[in-house]
Amino acid sequence: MRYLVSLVCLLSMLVVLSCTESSDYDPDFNVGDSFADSQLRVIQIDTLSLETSTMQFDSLITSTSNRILIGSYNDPEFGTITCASFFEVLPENFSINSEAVYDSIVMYMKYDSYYYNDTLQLNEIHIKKITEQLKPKKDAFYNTSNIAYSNEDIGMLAYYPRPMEGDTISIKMDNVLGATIFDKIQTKNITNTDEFKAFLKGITLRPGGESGSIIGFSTDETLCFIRLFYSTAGETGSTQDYIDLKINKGSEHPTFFNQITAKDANQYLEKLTDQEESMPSTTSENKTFIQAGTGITTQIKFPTIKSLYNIEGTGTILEATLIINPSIDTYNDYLSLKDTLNLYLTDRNNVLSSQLTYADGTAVKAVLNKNNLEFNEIYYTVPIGAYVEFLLTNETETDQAIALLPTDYTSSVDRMILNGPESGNNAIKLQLIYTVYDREN
Amino acid sequence: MTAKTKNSILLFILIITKVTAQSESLTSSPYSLYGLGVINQTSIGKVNAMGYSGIAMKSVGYINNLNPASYALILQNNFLYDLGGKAEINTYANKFNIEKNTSFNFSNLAFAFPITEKMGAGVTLIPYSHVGYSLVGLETNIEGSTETVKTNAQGTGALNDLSFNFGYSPFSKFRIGLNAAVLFGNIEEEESFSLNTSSFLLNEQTSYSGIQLGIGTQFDITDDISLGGILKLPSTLNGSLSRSIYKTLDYNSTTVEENIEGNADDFELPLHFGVGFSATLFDKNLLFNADYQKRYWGKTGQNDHIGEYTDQNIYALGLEYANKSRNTKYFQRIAYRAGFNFDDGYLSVNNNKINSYSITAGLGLPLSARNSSALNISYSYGQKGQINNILIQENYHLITINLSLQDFWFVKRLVK
Repeated sequence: MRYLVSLVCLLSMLVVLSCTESSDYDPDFNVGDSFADSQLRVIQIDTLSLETSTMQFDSLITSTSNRILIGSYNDPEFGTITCASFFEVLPENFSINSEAVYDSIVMYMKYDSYYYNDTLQLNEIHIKKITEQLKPKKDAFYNTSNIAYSNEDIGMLAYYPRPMEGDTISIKMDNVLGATIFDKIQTKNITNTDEFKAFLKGITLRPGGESGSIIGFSTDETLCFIRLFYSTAGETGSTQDYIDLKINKGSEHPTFFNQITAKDANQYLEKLTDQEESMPSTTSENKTFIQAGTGITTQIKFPTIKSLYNIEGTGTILEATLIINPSIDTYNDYLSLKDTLNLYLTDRNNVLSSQLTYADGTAVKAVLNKNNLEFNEIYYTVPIGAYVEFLLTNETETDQAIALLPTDYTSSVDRMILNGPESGNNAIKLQLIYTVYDREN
Repeated sequence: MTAKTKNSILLFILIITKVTAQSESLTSSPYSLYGLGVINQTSIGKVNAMGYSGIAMKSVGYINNLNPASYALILQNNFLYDLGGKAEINTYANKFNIEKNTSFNFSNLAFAFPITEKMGAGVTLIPYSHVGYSLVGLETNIEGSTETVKTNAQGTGALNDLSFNFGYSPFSKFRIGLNAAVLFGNIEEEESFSLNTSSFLLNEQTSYSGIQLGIGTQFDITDDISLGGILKLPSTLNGSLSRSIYKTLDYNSTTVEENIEGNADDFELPLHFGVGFSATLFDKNLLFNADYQKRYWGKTGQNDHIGEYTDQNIYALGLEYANKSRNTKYFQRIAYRAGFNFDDGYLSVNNNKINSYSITAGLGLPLSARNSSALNISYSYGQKGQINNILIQENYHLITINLSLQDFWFVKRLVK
């Protein structure tokens, strides 16, 4: 019996023990800095060497853009930049009352708020007829494509651009052309788009002088069109009516593109004739160049990234931030710096392979930091930890480079000049944070 | 072996598995950051109330785990159990803040039995050490910059001591004992920090195991005065590490390593010796113990964080008053105990030894008039570390409860 008692005693103690619990386990104790040291080493490194270079793509596809670029300006480094746009216009229908009388023809375009350089300069838009078929040799038109056009203006406007106002500009066009189109439709001489295209292959919108600005207009067909006004006499007076010739960007093949050219650029940019030949910053006054529209890009390589493995112990990279300084005095309020740049990868032949993205698919962007404007501390920062980790773990040497391009680089002309790696305090650099968690290799 | 013995052993194994599974992470002390954690001081039975003294103490009717030689004193047909738990309230403070924590814990499980008239043996399971800390804001310089990063460190875990004891009395007044302790357990430590766009977490689980052998002797100078000595040999606990590392890089959580086997430093247990004096006075009503123990940590050459291991000296004094005359009144059969313990510490941080002392008191509440089964309750107040430097001072109130049972087996009752 007594043994039983002790067994029961033991069992009950066991039950009690099993039920015990600690108080809320939250003894977060701030011990100050010398009670214990961390077994982790955290190291910041910004001395890894970088190579930067400038490269120009042979051509950029510009027929997929949603922006009409027109204008011309003189850039002290990049030369005279000229944008002209080519596109088809097609009547929305082919019926005009036989009693109607031609009135006028006007082109309407709406600013899409893009501009580059000083908009206080007088700009000119000249509308001209295209004289060859608006069809690309391959699948697309490029910034370098050209289509023959007649020199004669069929419309012209001199204006002071107000791109941020959201206005629509109107350009009075040649009445001889307007009346001809009117007649051909009214007399059923033109009854479908093919017949119309045979008459008017398309138009090109071109700047006048070379000292204006580059302005963007929408390619939305409700915002860019030519309106043919006419009137019909009735018993109570005449009624106004119109037919719209809307922009047509093409369905089987593109029938729209922007032509973007530069001439008389500085001596270094003039050397960029072959896409496969990158120009190291060491041969261009330790500077590199970026220009959207003409396809000039800055490439960055990290040839000694694996020297991180020389740090004693086993570790892992925690942050890698690229700090990119635009060259002082190469930008101003007119020749402004884009707020963000996208990062792409180029292969050994300098062909664009992919865009750098975060794990969730959003684009990796270099963001312009303007916190200390008065000290000229303007620089881009971009976290590229995942890419640096890829370089570190990649077993074979890569010929890849990062290429910096402004967002919308096929439909804008933003440009900038960046410091290379030998520019002292304002040099481009990679700032790494690395932690060693095992002191043995 | 009778069915009853089998049952008891089965029960014991059951309890061991239960207790070892449960005894993790139920303690809290910043000092458990170091080494294998805070080394457990509490023992079995009445010694918890007597300043943890009793190397020379002659134990009849209860288990004295401080010296394996005492197992030779277990009387024939006796079967001894001891089951203990403890509750601890810790307050720790440095110059900047104060924190309080309460923890409950299993403190021991033991049984002992005689083999022959001159031989006894026993098995005990007691915690060897506990790890339970959570420290925030450990500042680390970012090398190559003027900035710092604040890391947080957390640790949980425990090591257990499963001891096999054997005592033998080759001739009267002299006893010798052997002890083999199997030490085993896991310690999980975590360190983490965050930067602007990234974070890092290191998790290390270390399993330790090893065996430490010891001997003990007791010698009775007179019936009332005894001397004792113990010696534990240096030993190595083998550590095996499993490491996992997680980080966020560019806002994306990734696994750097997961459960990678690594090399953990083995942990060296030092040579340990102890001597004790025990005397009974006033018709054996008063028991007095005095112990001195030394552990040669310095020779192990170990260090941890900013601490270095140094030789440890422990002094213990204990008193018990128990009326041995055949009193029938329960109140007069209660034993009263008190003790003092000073430990100059095995860790030196910036040349400050982290010493500790504790004052103990307790009662032995008899459970039966016929045997020495008792409920032993002890309270101790202790202090560790100093506040006037970078160290942390820890105050603790510790209550232990031991159910010490004496059973008579194979004895037929004369009166039915």
